[in-house]
Amino acid sequence: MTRVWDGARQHRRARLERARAAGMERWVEADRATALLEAIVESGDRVCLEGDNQKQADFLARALARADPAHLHDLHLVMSVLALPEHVELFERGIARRLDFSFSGPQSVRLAQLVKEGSIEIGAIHTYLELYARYFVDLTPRIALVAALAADSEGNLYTGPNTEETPAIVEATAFRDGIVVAQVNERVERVPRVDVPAGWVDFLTVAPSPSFIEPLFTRDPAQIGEVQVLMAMMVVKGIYAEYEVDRLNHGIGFDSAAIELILPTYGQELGLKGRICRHWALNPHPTLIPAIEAGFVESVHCFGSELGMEPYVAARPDVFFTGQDGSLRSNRALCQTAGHYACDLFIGSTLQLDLAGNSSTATTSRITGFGGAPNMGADARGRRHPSAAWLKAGREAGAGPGAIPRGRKLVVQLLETFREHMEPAFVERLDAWDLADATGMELPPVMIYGDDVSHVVTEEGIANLLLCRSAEERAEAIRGVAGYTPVGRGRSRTAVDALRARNIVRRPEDLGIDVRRATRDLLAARSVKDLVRWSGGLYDPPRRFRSW
Amino acid sequence: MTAPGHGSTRASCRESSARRRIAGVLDPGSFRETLGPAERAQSPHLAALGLPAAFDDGVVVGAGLLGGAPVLAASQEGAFLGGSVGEVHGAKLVGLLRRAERERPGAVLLLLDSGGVRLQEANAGLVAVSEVMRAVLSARAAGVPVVALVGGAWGCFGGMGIVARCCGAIAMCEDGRLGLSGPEVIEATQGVEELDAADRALVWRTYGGKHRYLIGEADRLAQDDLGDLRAAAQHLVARVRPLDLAALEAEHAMLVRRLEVAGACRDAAEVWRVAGARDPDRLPLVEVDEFVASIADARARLGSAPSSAAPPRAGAGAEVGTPPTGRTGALLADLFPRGHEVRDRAGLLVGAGRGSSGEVAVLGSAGGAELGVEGALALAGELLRVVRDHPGRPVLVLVDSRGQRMSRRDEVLGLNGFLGHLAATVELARRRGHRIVALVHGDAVSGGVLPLGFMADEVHAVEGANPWVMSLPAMARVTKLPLGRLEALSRTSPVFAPGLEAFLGLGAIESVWRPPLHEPLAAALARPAGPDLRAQRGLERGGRLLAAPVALRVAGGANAR
Amino acid sequence: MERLAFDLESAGAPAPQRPPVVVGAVASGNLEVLVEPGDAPGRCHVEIATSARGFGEIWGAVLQDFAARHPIAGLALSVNDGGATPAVVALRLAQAVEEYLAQP
Repeated sequence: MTRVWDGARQHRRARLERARAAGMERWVEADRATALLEAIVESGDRVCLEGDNQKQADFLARALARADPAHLHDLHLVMSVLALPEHVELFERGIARRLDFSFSGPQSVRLAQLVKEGSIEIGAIHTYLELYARYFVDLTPRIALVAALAADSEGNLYTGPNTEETPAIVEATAFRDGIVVAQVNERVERVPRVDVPAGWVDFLTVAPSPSFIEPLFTRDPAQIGEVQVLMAMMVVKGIYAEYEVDRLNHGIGFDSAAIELILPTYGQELGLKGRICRHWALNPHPTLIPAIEAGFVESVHCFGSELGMEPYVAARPDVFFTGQDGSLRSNRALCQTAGHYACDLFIGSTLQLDLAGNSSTATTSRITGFGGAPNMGADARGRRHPSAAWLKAGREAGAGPGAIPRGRKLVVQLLETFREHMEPAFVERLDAWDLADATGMELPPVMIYGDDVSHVVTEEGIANLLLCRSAEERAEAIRGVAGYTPVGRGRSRTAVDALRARNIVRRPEDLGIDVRRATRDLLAARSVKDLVRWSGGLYDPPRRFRSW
Repeated sequence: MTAPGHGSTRASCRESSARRRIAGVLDPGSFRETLGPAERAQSPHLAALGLPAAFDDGVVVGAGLLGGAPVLAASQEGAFLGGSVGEVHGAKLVGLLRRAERERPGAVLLLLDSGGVRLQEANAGLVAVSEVMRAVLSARAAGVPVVALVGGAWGCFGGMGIVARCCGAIAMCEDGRLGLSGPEVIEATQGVEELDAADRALVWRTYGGKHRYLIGEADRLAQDDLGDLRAAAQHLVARVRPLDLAALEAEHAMLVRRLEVAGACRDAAEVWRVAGARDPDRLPLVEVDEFVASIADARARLGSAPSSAAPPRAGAGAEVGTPPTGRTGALLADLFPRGHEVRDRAGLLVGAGRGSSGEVAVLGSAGGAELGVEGALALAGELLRVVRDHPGRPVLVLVDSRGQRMSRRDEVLGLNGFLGHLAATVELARRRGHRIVALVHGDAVSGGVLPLGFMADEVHAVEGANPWVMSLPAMARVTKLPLGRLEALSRTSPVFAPGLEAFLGLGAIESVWRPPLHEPLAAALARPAGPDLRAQRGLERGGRLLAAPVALRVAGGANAR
Repeated sequence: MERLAFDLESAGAPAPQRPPVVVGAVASGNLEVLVEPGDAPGRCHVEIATSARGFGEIWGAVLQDFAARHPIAGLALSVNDGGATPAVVALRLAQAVEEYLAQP
C-alpha cells in the first residue's frame, strides 16, 4: 500500500476548488467573506486568526463568527491574543472549541468564565515566541486569517508599521500547504513595499472599515506618581549605571515609562548619556521620545507600531528600523528574539511576587496569559557573546566552587509593595496556584520564575538576588524590600542589616538618592502635550490622549 | 539637549500645589501666610461624613509683594475635595478681601482652582460662595484691583466660576479651565450627547484658556508657567475694569455683541469660525503667543475691543411678557397693594411696583425658571436701565429659580461671565444708593440665586420657600457618600438640610415675611444698607460658628509666623 | 474615619525649633503632614486622622522605622490621610521632616 505524500497539497486544491465553484477566486467581495470561509475551512481545522497585540483581523473574525456552526464547528484556534468580543463569540457559538494562545487582555474575565462553563478547551498558554515556534512544529495552521494595510492587484501585502507577526504566521501556513486569507484596508496600484509576497497569499478582501488597532503602549505622563519616580531613580542609578546597561527591553507600564522619562534629566545629570540605554527592543513608546531627542538612544527595534507614532518614527530613520518606503517595519518574532538574546536587561512590573521571586499576574477570576514577558524575562542560556553587564551579573551570581563561569541576563521585577486598596503585592503563595487548581492547568501560570530574576525593586529599595547564596537568603532579601506587607513585616531586622552590609539589599540612601528629589519635576515630559512638543509636533496622539 | 520651554525647567502652574503656586507668582520669599495650617482652621463638618479635613481647609491666604508692591493673595488647593468652598475656606477668602478693603494693597490676587460649592458642606458652602462674591465686588468698589489667576489642574467651576468673573480681570493658563457647570455635571444632567465629558478635546475647547480668551471671558492668556502667570498678573493689575456705570455698560455691550455674533453656535469651534478666526482647526495646537496674535481680529469681532462698545439695546425693555398669575401673581398683589406692572417673560420677572414711599423696581425669577445667558443679560440690562434712568430707586429681587441652565451652548458662550456681570451690576446699584432687598418665594438653587438674590443687601423669604443646593441622590452620586448618611444628616444638620429652616439658621436668609407682605417690604426698604451680615447671623443663630470669627481673624491680618 | 496617636522615641539630638512646615494634600491615595516643634524634648508625638480604617499596626510600624532613621525627637507630626499606601506615607514624612530641618 503506497502512502500518499502530498495529501495536504491535494486537500488544499480541493478547498480552493470549492471556493472557485462558489465563484470566488483571489479577490473576494467583502459581503462574500463568510461564504469564502465556509468553503475553505473545515470543522476541526487549526486556524490562526490574526489577533496580534495591537492589530486585529477583526473583519475576518466577524465573518468567521457568522458562519453556520451546524456546518463549521470545533475549530482549533491558534492565536497570540484573544482580544475581541468576536473572538469569544466563536467559542460561545461552538464554531471554535480549542485554543492555544499567549495573551487575553480585555477578554481575560470572559475567558475564565468560558473555561468554567466548559465551552472552551485551552491547549496551553504560551509566550509569543514560543507560540510562533510551534507554528513550525506541531501547531501549524491550516488556515491563516491575517490583516494588512494594503495589497496590490497581484496580492502583495503591505503590512506597514504594524507588521507584527504576520510574516511568521504566513510563512508557517503557506509553506505547509495551508491557505492564507488577508483582509486589507485598501487595494492599491502599487504597495509602498512588499512585506508579504503575493505568492504566499491565496485570498484577499477589502474590509469595510480599517482593521482594528489599539494604542496599548501609550502612557500619559500625567498619571506618573512620585513613588514611581523614586523607583525609576533607583533603577537608573542602582542598576543601569552600575551594570552599564546598554541594550534592554522595558515591559509596558507607568513604572517603566517613568524610567524612560528621567533619562534626559536624572540620567543626564549622572553623566550616563552615551553609556547606557543606547539599543532597545521596544515598541515605539511615546514616553521614549525625550530620551531619543536628548541623544540617549541609538537604535530601537519594534515588536509592532504604536498609534500616533508613525510620523515621528518615519522622521527618525537613524533610530528605528524603517523601509526604503519610509515607514516602520516591525516584527514581533524577531524582536522577541532580539529581546531574548541581544538584550542585557529586561525590566517589568508584576502584580504578585512570592518569597522565591516567582511572579505572576494571575488571579482566580481572570485568565490573562503571559504575552512576551516570559521570553524577555528569562536568562538566555543559549547566549554566548559577552557584554559588561552580562559578565558582571554572571560573576555576582557565582558559578559555584570549581564550576565553569557564565554570564547572566539582568531580569528586574519592579513593583510597589501595596497595590490599590492596600492589597499586598508580596505574598507567601501566588494566586496562580489557585487558578491552576480551578481550571485544571498542569502547572501554576508563572510569568517569570524566581531563578531568572536578578533584582527586585520596590519603593523600599533594591534586592539583588544574584548575590544570594541560598533560598533562605533570597527569601530574606525579598522580605527586605517587601515593606509593611505581612511578608515584609515577617523579616528579621538583623538578617536584613547583614544583607545590607553585603549590598544585597540597598535602600535609596545607600544608593545616594535624596528622596526629596523624587517628584514629577524630574520627568522630562509631564503631559502628552509635552511629548508632542519634544517630538517637534511629529507625534500625533490618538484622541483619547489629547486635550486639544 | 532639552527642547525649549518644557520639562523640568518649567514651573508648571497645573502641577503645582496651592502653596507652590502662590510662592511662584509673588516675589520670591515675600509671602507670609495668615491662619496657616499650624493654626488648624479646619472644616467642622467633614468628620461627620468620615472624611479627613485639611489643616488649612484647602486655601492658602496671606500677604506678599508683586514686583515690589504689597499685595494680598489667596490660592486654592484643588487636590483637597476639588478645591471646593466650605464654611471655613470661604471665610478665609472673605476675610482676605475685607482686609484688602481696609489696607488698600496694590492688588488682591486670587489663584483659583475649585469646583465651586463644597457639596459635603452644601448650604454652608453656597452662602460662603455668595459672601465671597460680595466681598470681591465690595473690594473692587473700594478701588482695590482684584485679579483672578486660573491655571490649576481642577479648573474653576461652579460658584467660583462666577467669583472669577466678579473680579476686575482674569488671566488664564492655556491648560486652565473656567466655566459654570463643569463637563461631568452637564453630562450627568443632560446626557452624553450634550457633552461627552471624556472627550478631552471638547472639554478644553469649551472651557479652556484659549476659548475663554477668544470670547473675552479671560483678559490674558499665559503659558502653563508660573513666571508667565506672574507677568500676566502684573500686566492686569494695572488694567483692571473699574466698577462703574460706564465700565458695566461697556461689558454689557460686549456680552450683547457676543450673543449677536455667536449666539447660534453650539460648539466652540463654531464660535471661532463665525468670529472669523483663521485656520480654526489648528488653533488648539498652536502655542500661546501665536494663538494670541492670530485671533486678535476674531476677539475684537466678538466684542472685547473697547471701540466696539455700543449703548445697551433698549431691547430688554421692549419685550413685553405677561402679567404674572397664580402664586406669583398673588405674591405681587400682596407686596404691592397699590398696584404694579411687573411682567413675566417666560420665568423672568421685570417691572416695577408702587411701594408706600414710591416706585420699587422688581427683578427676578418665577416658576422655577432656569437662568441662561439671555435671561442673565436681560436682568442685568434691566438693572442698568434702572440705575441710569431712576437714580436711587429701590430694587426688590424675587427668587424662584431651579438654578442655572445646564447646556453646552450656555457654557460655550460663557454663562459664568453673564452671571458675574449680573452680580457686578447689583453691586453697582448698591454703591449708587439703590436699596436692594431679595425675597425668596419658591426654589433658590446655586446659579439661580447667587448672582442676583444672594447679592442683595438683605435676603428674606416667604413661607414655603425652598432654598437648596443639590438633590440628595445627586449629591450622593457626586460625593460617593452613602445616600442614607446624607439623609440622616439632613434631618439634623442645617448644613445639609434643604429648605428654609436650615438657611435661616446659617444666616443666609434674614427672616420669613408674613402677610400682608407690603409691611415687611416697606420696613426693609426703609432700613439703610450695610455690610454683609450673614456670617454674623450664622454665628448668632448657631448654624455657622466659624465663618464670622475666621473671616475676622483673617481680616485683622493675624500672622501665622 | 479613624484617629490614631503615637509617641515615638527618636535617637540623636533634638530637632531645632523652626516654623511649621506642611507638605502634601488630603486626596485619595495622598496625605498631608504638618511638622512643628513638639512639647516633649526626647520624643516625637504623632497624631493621625485617616479615612482608611484598620491600619493602625502598619502606621505604627512605618512610624517606628521612620523615627529610627530620622532625628525627629522634640517634634510633633500631624497627619490628615486620604488612604495613602505606606510608600507614599514614608515619602511624605521624609519630605516634611527634611523640609522642616532645611529651614534656616
